[in-house]
Amino acid sequence: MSKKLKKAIPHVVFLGPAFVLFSLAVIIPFVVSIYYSLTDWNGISSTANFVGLKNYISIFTGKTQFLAAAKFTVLIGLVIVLLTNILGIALAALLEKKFRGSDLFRALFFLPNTMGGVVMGYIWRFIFIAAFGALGDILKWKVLQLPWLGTPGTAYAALIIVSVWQGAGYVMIIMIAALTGIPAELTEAARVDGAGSWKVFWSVKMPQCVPYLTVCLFWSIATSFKMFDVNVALTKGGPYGMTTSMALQIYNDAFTSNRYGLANAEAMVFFVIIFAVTALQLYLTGREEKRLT
Amino acid sequence: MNGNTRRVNIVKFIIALGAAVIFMVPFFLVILNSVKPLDQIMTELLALPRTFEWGNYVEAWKQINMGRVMLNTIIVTGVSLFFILLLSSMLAYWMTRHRTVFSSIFEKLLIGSLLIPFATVMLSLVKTMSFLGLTTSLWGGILTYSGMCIAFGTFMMTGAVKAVPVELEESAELDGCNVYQVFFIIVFPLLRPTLLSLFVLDLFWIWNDYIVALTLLNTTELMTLQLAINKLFGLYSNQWNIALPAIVMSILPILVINVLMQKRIVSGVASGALKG
Repeated sequence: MSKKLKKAIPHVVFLGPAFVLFSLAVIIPFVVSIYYSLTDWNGISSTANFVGLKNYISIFTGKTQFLAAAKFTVLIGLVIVLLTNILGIALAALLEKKFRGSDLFRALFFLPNTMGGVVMGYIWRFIFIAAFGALGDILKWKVLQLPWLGTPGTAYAALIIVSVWQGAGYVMIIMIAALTGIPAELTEAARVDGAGSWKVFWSVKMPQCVPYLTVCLFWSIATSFKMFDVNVALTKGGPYGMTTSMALQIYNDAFTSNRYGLANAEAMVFFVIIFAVTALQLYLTGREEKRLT
Repeated sequence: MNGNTRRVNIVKFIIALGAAVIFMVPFFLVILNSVKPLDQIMTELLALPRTFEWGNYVEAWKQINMGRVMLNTIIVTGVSLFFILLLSSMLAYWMTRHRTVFSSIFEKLLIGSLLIPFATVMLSLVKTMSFLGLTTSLWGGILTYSGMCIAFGTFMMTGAVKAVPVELEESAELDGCNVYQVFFIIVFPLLRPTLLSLFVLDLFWIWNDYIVALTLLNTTELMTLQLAINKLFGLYSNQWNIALPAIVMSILPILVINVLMQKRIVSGVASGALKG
């Protein structure tokens, strides 16, 4: 065996298997998707005609449902991101300093985040369909007796409730890590200068937490824009397809309507949207981090 | 502790308790009603059960084919985790200590891939896997989970590798260790804390995943827990006496892991988020 070849073997051993798996699961499908997005293939037949940008044109001229799904996902995503982070930060502020039971409370608030979207969706389906009604009969609250998953407005609300309930614990964990990492001298100094707890929290602690907030925002934006499981379990995209997320729309177009080429084009648009939004967010919070340091 | 902090702590405790009750009510109601007969679920949903209908659990177990489904989920999760932990740490080690042109291109691809949502690649992934004949076994799912999780895993492990002193490796080489021995005997054991964090993160991710399983493991023989729950609800949408016990059984393993590994989960999530 030549010396050069012998030297190459460890490279192949350490990098090879990972590269093969990564190519198989990510790179090859990504490239193949770009190709199919330019065809009219239905996913089954043996012929696929090259149609250029026709699928993309149909998407952007509103001939398909994808734009509606994108609008729904972005709007509900923004509400979810906002509420998840507000609730998560509030919980972190509450549980930052230890008191009796605070560790248990942290674990409880984080619990929904360790469970799957499908199962969580069905747990809440039971709550919205059966438990709300039972509770409404006792309390005589009209809002509980509504058909929660049956009208668009309440179905939106239901999706928001479940997503925030599932995501807040994650933000809480990250923000607790952020708050406990702030040097005590900093907050002490502000207190000596006469700042109250509220002022200390917003003007002294929060600016220190910006890198962590970046993580929370990145995570919550990515998670809510990729919404799929909760969507399937809770509303199935209904009523009248009004709560269909982008991921669900792609899945339906490919496997239910057999518009495989079109679905691939939608998948590419979906990627560009996620990429643009997360890149923009990272740029903006990165700028804020620089400004504060 | 002075009187003031004590009062603050009592107020905090009460607020936290109130919030925790609201957070936990859904779980509580599901568990409570899972042992009631159907007519009692419909009429006395909020009451404590009068009789314990353990038969609900037996019926749900049978309907969902729980033995098979649980075994599939354990195999897929376990084998994927093995690949992810091993390959991510090997990759992180090699990219940190033996940089080449190829490895820096690979690294850029890995970073870029973190922004690709699964829904973007899922359609072609199914075609690729079935072309390779991998959709008829659990391998399709296992290889997909492994390939997808390597990117994030490598970033987590890179931080840990950088913390290993190079001198340790150099002296091992002088003692006659080859590159494999240096990695597996000297470096790998030192990565344990980060490996555990990565293990916890990906364990939850894969166990709970629905979308990958839906596209690659969606047959009666290969079905995982999340798929089975979804199928069950499709068949028995309002038969809560079968659906609820199935839910309880599916979240039980997660609950146990939460109790056993509470501290590790919290620190794993925090460190994973900041390195990722």
